[in-house]
Amino acid sequence: MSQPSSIASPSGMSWQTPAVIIVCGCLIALIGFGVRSSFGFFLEPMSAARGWGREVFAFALAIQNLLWGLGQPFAGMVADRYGAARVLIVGGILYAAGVALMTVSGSPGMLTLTAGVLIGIGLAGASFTVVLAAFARMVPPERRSWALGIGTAAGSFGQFVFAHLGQAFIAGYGWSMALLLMAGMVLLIVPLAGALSGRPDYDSDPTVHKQSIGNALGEAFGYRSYLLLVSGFFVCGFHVAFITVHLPAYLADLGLGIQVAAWAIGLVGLFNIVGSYAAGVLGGRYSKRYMLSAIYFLRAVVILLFITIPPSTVTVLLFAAAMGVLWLSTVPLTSGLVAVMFGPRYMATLFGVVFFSHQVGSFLGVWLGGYLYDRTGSYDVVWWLGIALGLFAALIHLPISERPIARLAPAT
Amino acid sequence: MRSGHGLAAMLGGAVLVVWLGLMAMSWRAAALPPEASGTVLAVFPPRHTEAAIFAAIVRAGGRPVRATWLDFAWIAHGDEPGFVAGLRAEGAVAAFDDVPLGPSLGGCAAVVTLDRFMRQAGLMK
Repeated sequence: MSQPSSIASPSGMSWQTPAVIIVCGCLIALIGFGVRSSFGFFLEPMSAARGWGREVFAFALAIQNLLWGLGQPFAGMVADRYGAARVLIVGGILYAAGVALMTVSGSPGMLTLTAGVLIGIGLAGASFTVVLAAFARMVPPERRSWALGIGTAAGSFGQFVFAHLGQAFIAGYGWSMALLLMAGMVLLIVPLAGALSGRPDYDSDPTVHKQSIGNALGEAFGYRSYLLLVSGFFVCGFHVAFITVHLPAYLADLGLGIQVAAWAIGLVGLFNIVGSYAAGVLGGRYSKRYMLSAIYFLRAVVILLFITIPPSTVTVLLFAAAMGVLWLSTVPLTSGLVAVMFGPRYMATLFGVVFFSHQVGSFLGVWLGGYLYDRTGSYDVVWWLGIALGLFAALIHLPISERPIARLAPAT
Repeated sequence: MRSGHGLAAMLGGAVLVVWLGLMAMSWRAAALPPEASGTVLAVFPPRHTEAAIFAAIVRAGGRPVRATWLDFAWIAHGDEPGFVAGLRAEGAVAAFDDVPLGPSLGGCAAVVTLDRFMRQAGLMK
């Protein structure tokens, strides 16, 4: 990848080429997003070893997800102000500390503190959201969509890598040593973050509109297109969380074999990598809002077909492959639109707010799935709700203005 | 853009290589020693038929308990010390204790709980 002439490395370091930035950022996204995806496998052995009920571990992870969502906008603000590298380093250290300290968490309260609070805050600092914002600042605009796509795909790939690796570590070394090994891998974020160090001196650049974070947030929340984007990403969170948590149980209720569920989940993960990367590439050529609208519409169609056609192994696998392509492909497009609308100056903050909306949707997807199943005896209501939300999201993306906000528009 | 695809492919390939190495090391560490006995997860090469696996377990001095969602991995039980050695002599690649095998899909906010799934798969008590 040749060094683009239109941008110098923010810190002036010659080794900080776009390729190095991309590789290190992708590895951070892979590790940060991936390690957390293995936590579910520690539930059983940890709970058994400590004599806990499953709700202890589940509560800690729920706190983790909540704090990740709540902390993301704030982590974004710090990243926009002081640079992504510092936030990634602090986030990585907190994340690693939380994972390591899970091994000595002898009480439910301690586990909530380590697995919940420490890791949740750490994730906010060390997640792909901060990486994507850094990419948006450090990569030339014509490469931005591709960079956002490869960053998202790296996170998706991390889920695949660490889910299997977590299982293998537990089998080979026991859950405690497995956690320590995972913590060691998370610590790699610290040196990798060096590649994302430095930030453009916006304050001294006369071409950059001077704006505080507060002004930026006020401007964004007063901008209809941004609010539509926030609303749409809520639907994304609802879909992925509901399907992630409840699909195996739904398939079991249909009487389909465990092997089918296993293949289905695996296919979603693998096609997710393809979908994320493709969305990033295509987002650089075509309209992001129309692509997002199409993705959400197709999700609604795929879900409708899945629940109305008589279930079989074939329909399940086709559903999984289709949903995999449509899974995190929304991320590079949504983050790309934030960058188009407001520029990269406060990208981490503004996309952090969008991500918080995603986490709220995720929470509802998980909780409502279980709640409505218990109330109605089936997942039908939630599936239909998912279809309705998909259509809603498809519609609200259409009027999004895919242009820089007026103050950023070039003078004519 | 071709250079971007090339970078993506190289990065993905490098990660896969490292991952395969770590997986191989971990699963080797997880394998039971030859003298082990009791209820184990016996893994055979994928080319083995169910009938062949069944017979191999019996010849190894044990009894097949149940198949798993992996066609070539069976739960087997043998009381005599050296059961695992016998399984390997009959073609098993390795034998493992209770392992948390299962697919996962960690969405942005998902708490992945696989216990019901793993019990149905016969991989958990």
